[in-house]
Amino acid sequence: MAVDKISPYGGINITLEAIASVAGEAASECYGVVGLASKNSLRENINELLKKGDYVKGIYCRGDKKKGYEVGVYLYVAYGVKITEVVSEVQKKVRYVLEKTFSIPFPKVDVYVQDIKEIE
Amino acid sequence: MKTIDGQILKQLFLSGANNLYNHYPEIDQLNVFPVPDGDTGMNMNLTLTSGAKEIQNKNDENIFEIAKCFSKGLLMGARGNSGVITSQIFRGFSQALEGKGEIGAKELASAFVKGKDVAYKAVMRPVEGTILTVIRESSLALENEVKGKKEMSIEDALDFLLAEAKKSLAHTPELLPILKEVGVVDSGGAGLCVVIEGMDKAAHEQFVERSDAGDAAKELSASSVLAAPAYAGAKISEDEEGYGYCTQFILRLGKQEDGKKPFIEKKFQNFLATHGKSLVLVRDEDIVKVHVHTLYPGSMLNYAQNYGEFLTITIENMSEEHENISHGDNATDMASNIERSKKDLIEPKEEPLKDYGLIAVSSGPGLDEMFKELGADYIVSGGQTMNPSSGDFIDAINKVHAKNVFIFPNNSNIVMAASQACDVVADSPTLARVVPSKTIPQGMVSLMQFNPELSPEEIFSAMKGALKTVRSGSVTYAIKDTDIEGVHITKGYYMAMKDGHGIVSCVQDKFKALRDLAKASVDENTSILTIFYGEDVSEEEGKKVGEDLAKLFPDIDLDVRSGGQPIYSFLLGVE
Repeated sequence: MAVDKISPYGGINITLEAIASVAGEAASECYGVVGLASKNSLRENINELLKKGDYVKGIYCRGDKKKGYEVGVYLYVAYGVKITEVVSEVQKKVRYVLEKTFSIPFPKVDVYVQDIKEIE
Repeated sequence: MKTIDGQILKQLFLSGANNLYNHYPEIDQLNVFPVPDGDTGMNMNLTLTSGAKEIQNKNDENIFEIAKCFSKGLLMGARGNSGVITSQIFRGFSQALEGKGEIGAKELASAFVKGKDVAYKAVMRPVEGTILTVIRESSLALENEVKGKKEMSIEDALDFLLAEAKKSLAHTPELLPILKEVGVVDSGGAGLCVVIEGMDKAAHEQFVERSDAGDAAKELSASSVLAAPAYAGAKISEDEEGYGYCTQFILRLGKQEDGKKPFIEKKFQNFLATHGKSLVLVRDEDIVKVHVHTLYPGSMLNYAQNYGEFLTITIENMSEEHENISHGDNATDMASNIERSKKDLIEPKEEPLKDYGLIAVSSGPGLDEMFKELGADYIVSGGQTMNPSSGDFIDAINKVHAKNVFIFPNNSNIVMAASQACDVVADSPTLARVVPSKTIPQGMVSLMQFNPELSPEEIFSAMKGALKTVRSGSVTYAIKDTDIEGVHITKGYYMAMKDGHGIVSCVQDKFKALRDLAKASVDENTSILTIFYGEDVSEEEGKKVGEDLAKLFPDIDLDVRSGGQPIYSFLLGVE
């Protein structure tokens, strides 16, 4: 799936990978987020932090021009933080960064906390 | 103090939280990232308040108990990014104190370092130039300092920590480009500094109490942001009681040439509000509609006549009405009257679009007025520290209600927001354009190019062309000691800045700074020198400045006016 835009100079096609890597980048900078998780972790039974190139595995993006696009982020949070706050900050930041980067509205950002990691 | 126990730590924490409470509105104003919603101060304040509540009634001597409770309170009450990070810092802080009854400077330092460690662990990619940087640099510096000394008192340790934290905070714009762009330090880091300051003060036995100045200041800042002088909606005073005369009039504002005073809505409104009740004041360009209940309608009319001429006047004795008619009917009737008069002027504005609308950003009553004099239809208040949002501009564009709208941001930081607003309204019949004026003098000169006879494109290019003919400068005070571009800056001294050329000089006397600036800006091609003096300069001083400069530059047309702008003592325009 890809996002299409038309500018006065021609069409612009943005791939899911591009959106995922920007969203992953933004989410991973958020305080309290210790890593992104694979969205298929249950099925594939991989329970490890994604590496930078693999952010697309932890993010989905769907929707269309009419309804707007929605993004889902799968992640791990640190032990001992207030999860509601971290999640809402992730939503705010991911949405802000995506809208700023691509100039497309993203009305919905879903966050899935896959696990809590204690890092000592 | 060599050591502290639980009770003293409690005082330190409470004082820190109170200090933050007293200053959070200032911190809100720093907020830029990631979403410019200006709530960091509020969030941190709520977080700290929740921590303070938790230890308020604890009487443990044991320092670990207090720290643990405080950190639990912070965790539960954490709000926003900075709040969560603060809670992590103090979580680490409390972990380091486990098993200790009282602690000295060395333990205090390692507790802060532990706080830093824990805070850093909870994020995979720490962003530098934030609260994290402040706690890291300051705690490590303190640890080093303590190591180097045999003995250190708690007071000294906190003094040192505070100084380091401030140093680190001042450095944050270098690490995070967006801060530099907006010209602020990191808001979360600033919050942490304020907390440490509160703790430090308490250690010096100057426990910081909660003052309600925090709330007052908040109100103030909120109101100054909201103030949109040119087109205010209806304002109803809360008190609907009281009789006297129900006085309603419509005033057409006059021109200064006809001996009328310039209309300043706030002032006008204040006068009416102090002399009457149930005030409703609606302004639409040069028409002001007033509904007010007063005991002395005459004095009110006399006052209003200073500003313009009446179109209609209605005065009814309400005490009589009150006696004759049942109060209930009368009250509802009046309420609906008020509603109607509000609606009349505000809602159905289905008038055809004007050809042109001009929107200018300005701060300070004098400047606002000047812009209006020059023909601006709407003033958006804002400036260096208070940037209006795109939303403010969209509002302004809608209210101006014109086919072609020109926006003068008058500040390089605001140009972006204004352009965004233009993009948003692109679908509407209004065509909005931004004239990228970077300073107030530029905006004024550019605004003067407005000529409704020309086509919009011609006007736009004339306005843009005018920008280049103006050079501007400003005089303001320094808020810290530093060196920039080889000029030594001393805190509290006045800096003369030439836009685009950096700092000309930094001297103790603002008038000398102005002279330096004028000398540096004026050259043989200069014909007009315009100076706006700010709110910190009195009228006499302003006059004196004019005389001084007239001696210095006998060949140049000089125009010295009161701008009333905050922060900048003088703004200078050279043409």
